[in-house]
Amino acid sequence: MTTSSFDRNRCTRISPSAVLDDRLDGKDLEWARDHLRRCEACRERVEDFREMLLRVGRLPSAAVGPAAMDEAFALSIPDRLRAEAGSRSYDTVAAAPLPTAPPPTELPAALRPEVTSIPDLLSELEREIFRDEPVQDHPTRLSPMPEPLYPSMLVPEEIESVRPAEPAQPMPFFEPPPAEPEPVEARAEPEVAPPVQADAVPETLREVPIDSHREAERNEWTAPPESDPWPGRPEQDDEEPVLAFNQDTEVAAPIAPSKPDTAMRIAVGLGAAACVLLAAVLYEGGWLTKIVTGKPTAAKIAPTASVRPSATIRASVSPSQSLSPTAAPAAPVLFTLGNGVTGGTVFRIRPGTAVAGYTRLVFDIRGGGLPTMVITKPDDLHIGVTFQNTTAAGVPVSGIHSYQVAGVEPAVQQGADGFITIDLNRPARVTAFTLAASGSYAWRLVVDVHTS
Amino acid sequence: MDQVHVEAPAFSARAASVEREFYSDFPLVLNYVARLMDDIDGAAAITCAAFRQIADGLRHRPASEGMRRADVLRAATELSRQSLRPRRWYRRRHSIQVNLEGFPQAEARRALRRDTVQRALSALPFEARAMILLRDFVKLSYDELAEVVDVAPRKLVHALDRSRAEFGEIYDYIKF
Repeated sequence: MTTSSFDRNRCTRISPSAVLDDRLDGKDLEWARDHLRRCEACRERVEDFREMLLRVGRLPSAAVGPAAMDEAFALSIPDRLRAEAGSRSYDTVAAAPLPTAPPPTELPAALRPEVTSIPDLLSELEREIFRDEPVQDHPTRLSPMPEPLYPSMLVPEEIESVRPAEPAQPMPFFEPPPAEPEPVEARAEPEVAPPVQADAVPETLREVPIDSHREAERNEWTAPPESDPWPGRPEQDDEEPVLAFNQDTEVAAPIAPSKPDTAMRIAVGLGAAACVLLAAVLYEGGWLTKIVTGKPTAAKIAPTASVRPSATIRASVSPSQSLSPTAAPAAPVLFTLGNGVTGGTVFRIRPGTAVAGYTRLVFDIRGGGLPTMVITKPDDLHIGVTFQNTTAAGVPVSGIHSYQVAGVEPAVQQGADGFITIDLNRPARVTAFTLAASGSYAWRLVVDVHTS
Repeated sequence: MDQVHVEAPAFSARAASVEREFYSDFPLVLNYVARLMDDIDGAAAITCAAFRQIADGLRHRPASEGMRRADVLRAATELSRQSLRPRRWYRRRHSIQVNLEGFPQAEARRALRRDTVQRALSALPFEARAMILLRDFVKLSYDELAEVVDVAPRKLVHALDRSRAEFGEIYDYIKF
């Protein structure tokens, strides 16, 4: 075969994305067209991709109102640029700058009161949020970006000179962390003992004041490496940066020692032990409850044996059951669905959705329509589905389990009727509806098992 | 002519360009981030942060350059990735919320939650989701897409093939 290579009986020589996104040209395009004419698998695949592409392209967009846009603009664009841009009303008409207009830096601030009055809300918000958090939790700038796009922004003087009246509130979200040791050393310098004293004290005695103040350590680390008495220092650097992102010296001065770390570990250990104990207690309790009330192995058999076609009809007529101690009670009927079509076959059961609150089971039925389907609930942990005059034996049921559903038992053929039992993990609320055959889909019964 | 000349206030060409680009791109980027994070409430903060990051970086670039949409999308993607990255509980970051007036509408929030396509998208890995959204929802060109997701253009076709195939499988599984 010269045109196709097959992977699991499916030709994969055509890249649907290349076809759909017009990435082919010349001989490749001709070859692809020719191949698509002949290969049905590739044609189907391209059509599937086109369908998905259109679905994503047609996703609706949430509308953003003008007020929200203005607010976002004020939050997102630095004051310097906003001040230069002025108000939006004239910008949308794209007026050209006139030669008579003064340069932006000469424009007095009073002409744009709306700009100066807008507080930097995002900065304040983030400052509040990250007030007690270290810098490393902040989103950092993009590392793989080209250098001209995100150089280190360590020149705040330029901004301050443009808008001197505005209080400087660097935004932690966007500002890269400042170089660590520089501000600390600058701050620590006045507090460190003068060099005359350091010379007077012997080398061994210089280690003594280190544990009294962290800043002094920092200063000594800048000394020649042979005099460094703290071999474990780099771990501390990894743990927390010296200064906060806004270089606030009051915040940066007290650096947490390693003591809370131990406390944290102890707390985590105790919490984990408590969780294990709690889980064990809960598990044991549930198991005990299940044994006392449910007896799952016995209950699994009971509905299969008790439900008969006639029993389901009687149950739909008079749903209120009278419990008698001698005979097995008929299962209460939850739903009776379908159009009474006979001769169909249940050929597939599939979990239809991934939503956490419920499990959806879809029964695909081949045939001329929907048979009469009776959904019963013999007890809290079982649901019975009877497909009247329909073959259900042999439908694959393996691998269906979820938070609500423990499994689906193999279908039982009782005369003309097929019966399927759904085992539940826990008591659940059941809803059901049917779907007609459409396109490539067969007739379907949909059973939703909700967490009650 | 009867036209009256109205004198425009002073502004720099870059500032005007930035403003124009912001107002044209912000809704698109916001919706992209909402779909990418599957969280319309947290999308505003990420989008504002992305625009802020790019606008801050403009001062180091030539005056003729404005905010490029690909740069903003790249920053938004990276911030979304960081925001979604799992963290140990004692280092968990508070979710950042920026409340924009009238956004999101309750209907939009509900629609995002109910959408089967969105549910399938949210089940995809982050890179695949970003790639599909950028190409099919934002409708970026291959060059822009390569720049945003940092994948060589010649590898994009195969990456998109894989992402779309996975998306299709998930969608087929959860749909009716």
